[in-house]
Amino acid sequence: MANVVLDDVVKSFGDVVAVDHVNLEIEDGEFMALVGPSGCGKTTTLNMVAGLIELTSGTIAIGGKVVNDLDPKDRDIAMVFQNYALYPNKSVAENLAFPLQMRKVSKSDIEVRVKRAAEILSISHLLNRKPRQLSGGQQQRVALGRALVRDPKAFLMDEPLSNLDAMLRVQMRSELKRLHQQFSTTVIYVTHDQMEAMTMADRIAVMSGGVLQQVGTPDDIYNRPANTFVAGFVGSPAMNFLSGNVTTSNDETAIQGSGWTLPLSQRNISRVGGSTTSEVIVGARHTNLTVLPEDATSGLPARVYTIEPTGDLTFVHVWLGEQLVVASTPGTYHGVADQPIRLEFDQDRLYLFDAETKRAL
Amino acid sequence: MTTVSAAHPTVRARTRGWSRPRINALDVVGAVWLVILLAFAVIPMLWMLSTSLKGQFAALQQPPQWIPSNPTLQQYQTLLSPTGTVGPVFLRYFFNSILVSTTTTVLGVLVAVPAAYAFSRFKFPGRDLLFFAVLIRNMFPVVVFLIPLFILMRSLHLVNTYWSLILTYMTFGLPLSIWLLKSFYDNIPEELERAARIDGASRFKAFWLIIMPLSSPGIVATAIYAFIAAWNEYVYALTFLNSESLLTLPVGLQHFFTEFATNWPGLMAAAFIMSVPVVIMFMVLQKQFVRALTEGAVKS
Repeated sequence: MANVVLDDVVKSFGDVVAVDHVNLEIEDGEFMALVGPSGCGKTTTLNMVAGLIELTSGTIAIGGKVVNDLDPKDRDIAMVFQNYALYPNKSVAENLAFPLQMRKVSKSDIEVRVKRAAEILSISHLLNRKPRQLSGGQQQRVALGRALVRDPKAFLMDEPLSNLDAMLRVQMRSELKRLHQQFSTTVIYVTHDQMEAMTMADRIAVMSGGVLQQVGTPDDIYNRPANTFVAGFVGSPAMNFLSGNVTTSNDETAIQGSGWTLPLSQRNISRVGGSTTSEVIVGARHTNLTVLPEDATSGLPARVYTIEPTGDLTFVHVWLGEQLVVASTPGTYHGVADQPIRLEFDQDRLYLFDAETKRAL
Repeated sequence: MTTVSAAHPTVRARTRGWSRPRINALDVVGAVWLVILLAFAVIPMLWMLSTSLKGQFAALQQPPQWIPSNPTLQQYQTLLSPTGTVGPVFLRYFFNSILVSTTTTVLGVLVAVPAAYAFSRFKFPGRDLLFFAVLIRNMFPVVVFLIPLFILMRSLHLVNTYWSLILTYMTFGLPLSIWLLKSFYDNIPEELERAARIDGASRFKAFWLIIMPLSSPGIVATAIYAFIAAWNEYVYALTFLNSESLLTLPVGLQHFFTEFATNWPGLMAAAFIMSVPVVIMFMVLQKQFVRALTEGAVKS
């Protein structure tokens, strides 16, 4: 076990900068999720930690030792790949034994450790099979097993669950989390699925365009996003963004967009004061918007566009002036399209961003 | 053929209940066509074998005897006996052919495997151009290179040596070998060797322990191709070699033909012996070869 420190890491492919001056410290025993849309540089970052890609500049240290010039085999890490990368011509047992054989572990010791890993992952009955005879979920377990048989300094996982079907994914998610709690090994987990990151990680690093946008606990990332990218990336359905100008008239400060005016609470007025221009972006999650009847005394006038019942929750897409926003209501809500309503913003849970820098205010 | 007729009734039975199996007109045409192709391939071989077992007189008899009435192995004994006038010469040709073809095959695979792997896995300046340059050799007929290569071999003092043939055959075999193997490596997921390297293998070990076994059908196909091409080659062997002791079988048989023009059974026996190594090789490696041509590579 060890910590992993990325210091000013840059990777460029020709003119394209894939990873742009990333600084990140993953603490010993921490589960760090690297999350972002495809092409954001998260897998490249992981591959640099693994030693599969060379750095353009910067340093990576594992357990206090700079590993820039070390071969993958000498970094003492284990990795789980998206397509599992099981050796097709080897049996499950041989797959599990391979990393130990490469490290010249004694035969009897290999047997014990393979058996133990197989038991932990409930694949003991599959040891003699070839990978192609296994289901996707079983292959996934073998891939995890191949990482678990050793006691590496860190586990690197590259979208390990994304090839599984939805149900299995949820199941493996909790198993992986449980395994991490059991072994408390450092984990760097790459995923494009914000839900996986939120549910499993101790801390999340959000990347976009090769740049680290924010590093923080799931709570930080969700409740205190650093910018519009992070705010929009985490949460489903995505946060609503509305751009407007800060106006003051009759001692009332409000944000005026096209076809709507949102008065601000005292606390929010002081927040928008920090903006570089008068233009700001209002962010509101669906849970922080309340759909009220047309004759309510509070809220902004709006009109229903479409209604999506999902069971417990019903998502209501609403025209607010010329912008569509989505709000959630209890499953008992019954409305119809084009119905006039009022939409209330929770001022305490309002996200405000500088329209120019996109940073949180 | 048997599989075609045997497989269909069950399929039909499953799809149409237990109605009488119907034979499609296309199936019949296909089967007939296969029989014709089979005959085309096999009859000359059988005729060769039949003639080689006949006596001098029976070989020229009209109408021809399809099955020799007095089969004899005398021609084979003569050709394969290390004593006598014909045997040692023939065995020498045979040895030369084996030596040249095997060396060509082994060296060809040793060059083609790393070359194909490099073309598949590494990005280096000029890679595409180089790969194209390798393939462009195949655009020209082999004979075009006869004179330039002869001049080259002469200035390298390689004319009338085994090496002149080995190097030439490698030159001709490598482009296709590299191309075939490259497509094999392209289809083996790179994650496999990445996983192996993280699991503690060096790049070479990852290749040797994980990638090589997966590409073995491709290597076998390449080897068979290189071996057969070298085994059958005639024009270059005729041009580059003059010493009787260095001649390979195709050229050697030509000598037989001129020297023993009347000895048809002898010639046919020699030709039959010549086809044996290729047939054996095919029979042993058939499975791998078919897998290589049909499967392409590993399914990930």
